Amino acid sequence: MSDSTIIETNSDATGAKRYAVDRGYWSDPFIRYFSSRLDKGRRTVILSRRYFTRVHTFFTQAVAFCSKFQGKCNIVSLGAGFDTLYWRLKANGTTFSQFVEVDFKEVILHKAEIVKRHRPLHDLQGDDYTAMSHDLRAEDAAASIRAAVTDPSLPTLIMTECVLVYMPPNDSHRLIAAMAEAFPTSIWLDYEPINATDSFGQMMVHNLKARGCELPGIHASPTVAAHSRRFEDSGYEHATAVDLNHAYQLIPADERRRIQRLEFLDELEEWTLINSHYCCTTACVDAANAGLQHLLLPTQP
Amino acid sequence: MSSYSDLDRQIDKLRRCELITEDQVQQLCIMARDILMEEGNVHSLSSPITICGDIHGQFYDLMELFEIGGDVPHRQYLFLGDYVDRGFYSVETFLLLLALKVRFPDRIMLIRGNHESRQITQVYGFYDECLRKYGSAHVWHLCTDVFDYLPLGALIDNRVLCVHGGLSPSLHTIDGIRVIDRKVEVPHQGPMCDLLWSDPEGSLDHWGVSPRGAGFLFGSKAVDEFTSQNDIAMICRAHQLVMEGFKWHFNKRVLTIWSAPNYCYRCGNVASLFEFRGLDATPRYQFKMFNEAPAETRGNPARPAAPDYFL
Ligand SMILES: [Mn+2]
Repeated sequence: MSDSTIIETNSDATGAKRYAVDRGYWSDPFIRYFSSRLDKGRRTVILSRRYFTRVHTFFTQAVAFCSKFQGKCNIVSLGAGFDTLYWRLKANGTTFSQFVEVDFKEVILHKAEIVKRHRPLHDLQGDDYTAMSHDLRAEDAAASIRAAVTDPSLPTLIMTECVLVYMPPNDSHRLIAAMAEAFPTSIWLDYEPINATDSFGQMMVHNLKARGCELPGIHASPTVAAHSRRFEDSGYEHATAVDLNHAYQLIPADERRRIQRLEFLDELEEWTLINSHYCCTTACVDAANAGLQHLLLPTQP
Repeated sequence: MSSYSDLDRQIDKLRRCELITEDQVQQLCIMARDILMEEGNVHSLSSPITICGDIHGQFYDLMELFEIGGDVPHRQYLFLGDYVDRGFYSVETFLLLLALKVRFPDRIMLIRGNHESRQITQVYGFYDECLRKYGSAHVWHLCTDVFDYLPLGALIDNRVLCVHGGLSPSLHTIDGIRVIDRKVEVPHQGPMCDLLWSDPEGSLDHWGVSPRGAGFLFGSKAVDEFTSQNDIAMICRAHQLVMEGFKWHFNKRVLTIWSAPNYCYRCGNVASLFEFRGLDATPRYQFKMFNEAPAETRGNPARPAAPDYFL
């Protein structure tokens, strides 16, 4: 699969997020700078709810992590794309020592270009922001990222959203193990598709392939359990993994009620079915005994 | 009024998944309304009959359905609603079914699903599709006006009640369904809404709140009471995606039938038809399963290039 197809999924994701933000699913005053106003296509209610679940989970985890360490911590976003988390955290008053985004050179340059053009982004961006391009499949990826971080011994939150699934399993295992070594006090938050072998999953792989999108990692980590195991087998001490149905239940009830009122969901079966094909994993390694285990996603609602 | 030969030409056109003109749609809708107006809220039918669940604009899969189940008028059909939204060809799908209804009113029955609604079709695709294909909302207005005339249910051999969704806590009898003033947009609550929105729930005795936000969940005792009070053998409904194409509930008193294979071009499910041949001592029936129409039989583009995955 070509890297440009991976990059295309970035603009799909940004367009879908802007659509959901415009409908009030969550607030993100920055997304509009990254997504063309011309992209007016209607998105399904299910898609918006799924992005809500994902964005809510990542934001909540990041805020909890930063507050636990009162800003003396790092966030490393691998394959960050046009994610606006950095600016949303800044606007929220959440502090951290350093926020590092890693992606393909083309994406990093394009993002920097957009930031330069828009004052609200530019004004919020400080010395705590680092963007670097690196191929995560390369052997020296973790070492290069570590070299870009001022204090890699600080507690570090590593994020991957649909990134590891694009990597051959050997590469993702190596990256995880190398990151555990490079950041010995770190917690990883990962989001990936799973269950590619049932009939929905087979269709998903088939449809994505038809659009030139291959997922070389999907069969190596087929289940929720396999996802936590992957981290535990690669240098992380503890891991929990939940599917997206469960992740949605972890969101406070009043917040769920609020978004359920925004648009009417006609097909619950489809919602449950799709969510059972995506997984959120948290894993930690805790050399400094910083209590990272308390930040793992609970497997009980 | 146009003659049968005009209508037959339109049917041929629609069967090729081609659009008929706006004027023809208008004519068709007037004729359809006149026919549907004469049908009661619960239309009485006799077996043998082939019952189909949700179609959702999957035109080529509807062709597959007729291929597997036999054609109208050789077979008698009952469709349980949800003709439009989600799929690529809601317009062609609904107009073909409507044209068949006008041409063979006694051989094909169309009842109303929760998607046969102005509000829902504006969110789930039919409205956008009408705009895209006809350049204005006129055809959408014509079709949604016909939706208001669709019956709410059907009763086969006086023993099998067919509705899109299920039971309502405010309806104890079939006569109660018969007296609803149905010729309105689907309300947000109340008996008419429940018939189109409710779902069976195995863990319940009577009633539960529906997580869909409309209709109710109904349990085994609600089904027992309704079936015994109305002397019916079973309830046949659609509305819920079932990966296996059909699903029995409550000891075969309720059946869910689903007729949209690979729903939304991504769910990977099979679809089914329920061929019902009557009740003697036991019901006589058979299920026919079918898959998504093969790629070669589809037009271009037959499917969205990228059903929205989430990467
Ligand atoms: Mn329905």
